[in-house]
Amino acid sequence: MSALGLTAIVLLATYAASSTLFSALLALWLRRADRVPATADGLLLLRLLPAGLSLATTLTIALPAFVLGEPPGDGERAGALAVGLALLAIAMLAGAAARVLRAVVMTYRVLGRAGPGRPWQGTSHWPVHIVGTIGPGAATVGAWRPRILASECVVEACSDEEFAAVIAHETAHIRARDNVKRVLLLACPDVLAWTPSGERLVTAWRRAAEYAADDQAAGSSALRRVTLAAAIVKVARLTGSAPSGLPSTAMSAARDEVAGRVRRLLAPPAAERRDPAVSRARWLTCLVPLLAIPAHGAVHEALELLVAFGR
Amino acid sequence: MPPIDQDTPQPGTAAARRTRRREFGPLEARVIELLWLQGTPLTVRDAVAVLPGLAYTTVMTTLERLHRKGLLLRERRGRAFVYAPRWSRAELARRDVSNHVAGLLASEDTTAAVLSAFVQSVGNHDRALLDELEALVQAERVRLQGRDR
Repeated sequence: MSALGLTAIVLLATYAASSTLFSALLALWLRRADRVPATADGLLLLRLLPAGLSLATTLTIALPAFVLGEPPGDGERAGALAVGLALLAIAMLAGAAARVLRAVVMTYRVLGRAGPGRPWQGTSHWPVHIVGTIGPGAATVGAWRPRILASECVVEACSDEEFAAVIAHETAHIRARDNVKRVLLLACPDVLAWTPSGERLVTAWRRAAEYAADDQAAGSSALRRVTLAAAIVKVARLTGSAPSGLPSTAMSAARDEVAGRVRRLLAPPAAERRDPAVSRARWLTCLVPLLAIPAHGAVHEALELLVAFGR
Repeated sequence: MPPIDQDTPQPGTAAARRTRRREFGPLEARVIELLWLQGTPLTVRDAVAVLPGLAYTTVMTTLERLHRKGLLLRERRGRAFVYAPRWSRAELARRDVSNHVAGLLASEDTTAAVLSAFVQSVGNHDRALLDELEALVQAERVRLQGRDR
């Protein structure tokens, strides 16, 4: 086997092994933790942590340790364990690519069915299109060139102020780049993407992002908050009248989300608090390569064992 | 207009299945939007006159397709058919139409698409929850109005 091929297998195997380990540790911590991050940014970082740490481990520890310590032109053959782990890494990457591709296809499907619609005459920094072909609802569609779509029946059902609140909410999603973050979450190549823990994290992030967009749209004004709450209830009624194809678990989560958002908007706004998880995750990812520098020799030995296992 | 073929799809019938398979292409959307805006039944010729750039046969085929899908009523007047929407725009949005189109912005597609929906579908059986939430909203509105006086 060529040196390049062996290096590729080692790196893929290291990625798969570290991703599995970090994902398992995170899933375990989530089960036992008294408190998990409440902010959208904290939850996003938590979800990206296994993949981020695995990438850092692979590129800054495994790659230099293996390449620098490996004799040139060895012609070594990889064992079954290394090959198996490399295939797992390829499956993770392929899964991530498939999720992103499906998202792109579904997004174009929504935009295609929506058609051009008619432009909204109100004030908005981003294009708002009123369409009559997509059933009841409103949404921000697309990551790189987002546009806001709203169905005719939402315009008809809401007052001018309520519809303006809907648009303000969607604008907040664009400002926070929530659809870009959605793509990042889909593109996470790790085993957590295949587990209920990973799904729960994404659901929690989605809910936190909605809360954040509500806060941005309505601020601390009691009138704007109650107007947005009214719009949420009206649009929920409209969407509830059309079968969505969602499984019952998702509908249950959606029900909790609607109730949570409305009650939260009607309560006095809570003070914003910084999430320590965000800075902790950043430090952890930066520290990994630094802490391992003295251990490069031991890392190389471990990688040699990995390559030889099952040969 | 007394419709000739206004058979309201009953559950389990072929018409209901046709209704459920309903999808709007961009051209179909344009044509049905035109009918809603006009507010009166139109012949194919009337529709072509207000849809620039579309051939007669294209408009005729599209109207026929919408009629087959159960979205339009059709009546013969003399030698021509006149078409009218079966439901208003708001009624159509509320009816039990194809899972594939209705509620697209609040459907399973939102979990896969790059899309932030304003509200996910909560289902028809959660009317009690929505009534409760609406009552909370109204109570808060009354409280704020009282506070401002």
